[in-house]
Amino acid sequence: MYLTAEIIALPGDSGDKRAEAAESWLDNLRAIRAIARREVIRFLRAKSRIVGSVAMPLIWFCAFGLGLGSAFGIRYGEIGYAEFLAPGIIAMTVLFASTFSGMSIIVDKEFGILKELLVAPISRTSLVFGKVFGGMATSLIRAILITILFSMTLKISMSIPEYLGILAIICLISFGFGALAIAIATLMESMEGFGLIVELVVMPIFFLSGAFFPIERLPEWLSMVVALNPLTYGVDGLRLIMFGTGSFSMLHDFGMLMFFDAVMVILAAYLFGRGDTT
Amino acid sequence: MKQSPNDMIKVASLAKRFNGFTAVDQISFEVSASEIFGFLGPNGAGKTTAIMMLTTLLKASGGWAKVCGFDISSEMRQIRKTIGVVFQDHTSDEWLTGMEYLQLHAGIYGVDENRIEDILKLFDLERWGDHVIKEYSSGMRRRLEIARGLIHHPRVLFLDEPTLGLDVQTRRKIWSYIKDLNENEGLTVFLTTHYLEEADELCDRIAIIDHGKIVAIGTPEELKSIVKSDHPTLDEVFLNYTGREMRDHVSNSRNHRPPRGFWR
Repeated sequence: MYLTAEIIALPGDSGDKRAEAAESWLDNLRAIRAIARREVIRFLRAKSRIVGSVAMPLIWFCAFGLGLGSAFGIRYGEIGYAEFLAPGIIAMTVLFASTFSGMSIIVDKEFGILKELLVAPISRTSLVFGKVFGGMATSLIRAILITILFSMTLKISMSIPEYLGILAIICLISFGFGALAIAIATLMESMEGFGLIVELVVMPIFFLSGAFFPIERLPEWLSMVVALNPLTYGVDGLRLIMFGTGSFSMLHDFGMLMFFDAVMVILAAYLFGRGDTT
Repeated sequence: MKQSPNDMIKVASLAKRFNGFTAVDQISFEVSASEIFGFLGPNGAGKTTAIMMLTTLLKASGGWAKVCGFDISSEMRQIRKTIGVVFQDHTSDEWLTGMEYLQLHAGIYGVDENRIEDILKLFDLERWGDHVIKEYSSGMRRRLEIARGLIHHPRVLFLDEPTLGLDVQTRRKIWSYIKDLNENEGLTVFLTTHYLEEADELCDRIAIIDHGKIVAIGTPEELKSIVKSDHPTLDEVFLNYTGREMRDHVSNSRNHRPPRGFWR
């Protein structure tokens, strides 16, 4: 029997949509909060995940920022390579953490947990938002830890508004890439497949984002790719706040990130809820 | 599409085909309010497919069905509000505590958190609320999942093989919960099982399903009276209808891995 086969292949909540729209708004918000909360609980419960999620970026930072940077004496304007790399590592932490929300949908599918959520009277879009916001919350936990570590080791002093700006960029990065991960997860059937795609998509996004190298003196084709990469603007925005140096204006960075987020959430909601209309 | 006010579930010629294979073949039946109705059949008979269609998780390929007066193909949101579903495999998130698991669903269904305490107590799990589900035995986990299915006061509870793989003591305990809920709160229960004694013990009426078709339907007594024997058992009725051959059916494990097109 192929029972779970078509589970999502069904109209979610079609005909009665408009009639209940007003009342269901609050219901959906509550459901989104409940689903997001579960992601956070799961993250905090797995101690190894917390350690791992902080250790990984630190290893990158030590190997490249401190190791490579001091070995070759690389500098970027006023700042050393470790400082140059720090915003990139924060962005990387958020990027990896938010792709996890896509992973969690596949895990839920494999363990049947998703069936419980699908049989509940909530819209598919709420499910997507719950997952995205859950991923955002865990991204924030990780990224804040890393940011604090960096500002201590690199002796960066930032004001409260600057910290808030960093949080805002972290949220924008996490929202967009979380939605992208969910969009990919809806097309994938297994964890293995998803892992492969993540490696194929996430690593290039990270490497070609200006996290590792300044983007001003790249060959033209490469700078095109970098300019199309949304993470570029996240990294640039973080660098602007932390060290006052970057390739674009703050407005430009925020604008691009918000545009990316809007496109991704529409895509994810469309792919996830596609059954609704057929 | 006539429906008497007492019918909680009404099914007419409901069918499900998967790429040329007919899993459910034009079944028709009614379940009245406060009835415990059972689908009894060998593995692979189409029981779970039927439950999936009635709980709006699978689209029917033919026929129609109404649950609590709502159409399964157009009024899914209303059905989802009024039914509770407990799946065959464990679907609780083992990384959450029992309490957190129920809070998740209380949030999804918009249920007051006081309900959680009550429902934990009802299933004798109040001492386990703060334990991670990983630490639960299979029977405790099943009780928790039934509690979850009831958190929003559904009018119909769907149970897919509720006691599969549980020991005799736990199985009897779960039967008593289901019976109590049915007697005290008038809960309508639709369950599937391939345990004859479960059907005999629990159900007011039974439909024997095989190869996707309903081959017999009636009270346990009615079904037993069909077999000519001094002490008729459901076993004999069952074998009478479904034959004595062992079944090699398509493995259930295919359920766990959604095939291509799952999301479409």
